[in-house]
Amino acid sequence: MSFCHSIDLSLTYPNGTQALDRVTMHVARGEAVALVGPSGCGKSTLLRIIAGLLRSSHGAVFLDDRQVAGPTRATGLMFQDPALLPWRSVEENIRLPQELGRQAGQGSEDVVPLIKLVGLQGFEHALPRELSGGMAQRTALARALVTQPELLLMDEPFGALDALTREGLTAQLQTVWRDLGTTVIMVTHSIAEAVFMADRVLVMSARPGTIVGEVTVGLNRPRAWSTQGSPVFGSAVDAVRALLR
Amino acid sequence: MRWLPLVGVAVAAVAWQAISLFYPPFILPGPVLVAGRFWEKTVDGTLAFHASVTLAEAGLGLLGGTLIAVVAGYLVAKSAVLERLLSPFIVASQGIPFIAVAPLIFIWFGNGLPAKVLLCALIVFFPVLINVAAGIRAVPQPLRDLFAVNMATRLQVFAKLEVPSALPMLVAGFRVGGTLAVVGAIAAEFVSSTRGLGFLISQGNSFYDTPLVMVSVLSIMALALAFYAAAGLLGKLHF
Repeated sequence: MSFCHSIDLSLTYPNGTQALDRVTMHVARGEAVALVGPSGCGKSTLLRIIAGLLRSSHGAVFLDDRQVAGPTRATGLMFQDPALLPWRSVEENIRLPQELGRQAGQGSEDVVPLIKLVGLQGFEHALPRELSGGMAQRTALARALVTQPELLLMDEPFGALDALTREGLTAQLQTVWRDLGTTVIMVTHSIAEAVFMADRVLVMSARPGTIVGEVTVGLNRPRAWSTQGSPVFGSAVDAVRALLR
Repeated sequence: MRWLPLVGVAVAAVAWQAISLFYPPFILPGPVLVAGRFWEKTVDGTLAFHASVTLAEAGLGLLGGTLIAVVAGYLVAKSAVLERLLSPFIVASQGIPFIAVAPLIFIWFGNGLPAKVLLCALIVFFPVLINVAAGIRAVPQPLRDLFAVNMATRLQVFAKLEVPSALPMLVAGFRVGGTLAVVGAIAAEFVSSTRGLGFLISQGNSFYDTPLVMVSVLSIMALALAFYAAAGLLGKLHF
């Protein structure tokens, strides 16, 4: 039973450039799916359409069988850039989504458990400029999760981080979304990262972007970085690479 | 190191005093003479009166010009049509010395306070508008997306995202505008008036009262600095 699916999504810009060509995908509830593809293939565009931030010229996206017609609170967003408000502290940044919308202020749950979950206790009152890249990105993660979204959309969330921070954060992230049961769609450039994080890797072609194949990753959870040495991991990476050629 | 600027000022004052000994006071009055004149004009209330006139013209012009420019800057940033419609004026405004427009404004609106406020507002308007529009445009797309998926209302986007993001640019525009407003007020008073620091300068000029001219110039400088500092306070606003 798919929770989020898109049917025949195409997008052509007014200048005639075709960004996406009949993209159809299904994502089950609680599943983590990674999108990989050459740069400029429309991965980020696809993510924005799923979030309801951009309209496709053809086709539709459904969340729980309801068609996405615009932005909804059911989605949480995370970007390559943490995109924190520099004048707000860590805690105030995490609380931001609670202050927005017509029913702002209602259901403002305690954010303390969330801050703990992403390991930022002690930094609640720090300003973004005082944070390391990894901490800023964890703040962005907590902010994306504060509304308890059913679907978490991540656009290269680790793209700007150094390798060590990246390893720590990817391992942490998979436990976080396992705990919360969030459905995840993430865009990444790194094949290894896609295989490590996702249950399924969807491979996209160069522009106009379309899905050319998928690889199911048969690794148990939780996964540790040592899993990367296993034959199952290696064959999944090879399969993705073969589809990219 | 902190007192070095003061040393600079003291050295300049001593040099000024020394050079002034070689010239008659109506050509180059020394700092002692100017300070005496400053005190005299302060005590008899002349300076306060004329300074308050200039302050009112420049201050009201700055406030009015800024308010309208903030609204217009927001609309320009939001509407491509409006931006294209206004672009010839924005470009032209960079080339027009508004001081040269002063006589026209006096022909149309008389030479009282409203006309002078209008001139100051006009001078302030474009630099602030351009900065506000640029500041609002510079809000990164990811942040706009974030506000959108959280169903932020237009007002929330404005108050919690656009205003704080654009504030540094607005302060920069306000700073430039503040000094320009004082210049505008003085220039307007040169052209036509019976009060204000600009009037005091032309009065000193026609009577060869050079110390009075210098007193007025120093007062104008103090006024412009005060405006600059006030604009800086705006930047300290917290959200």
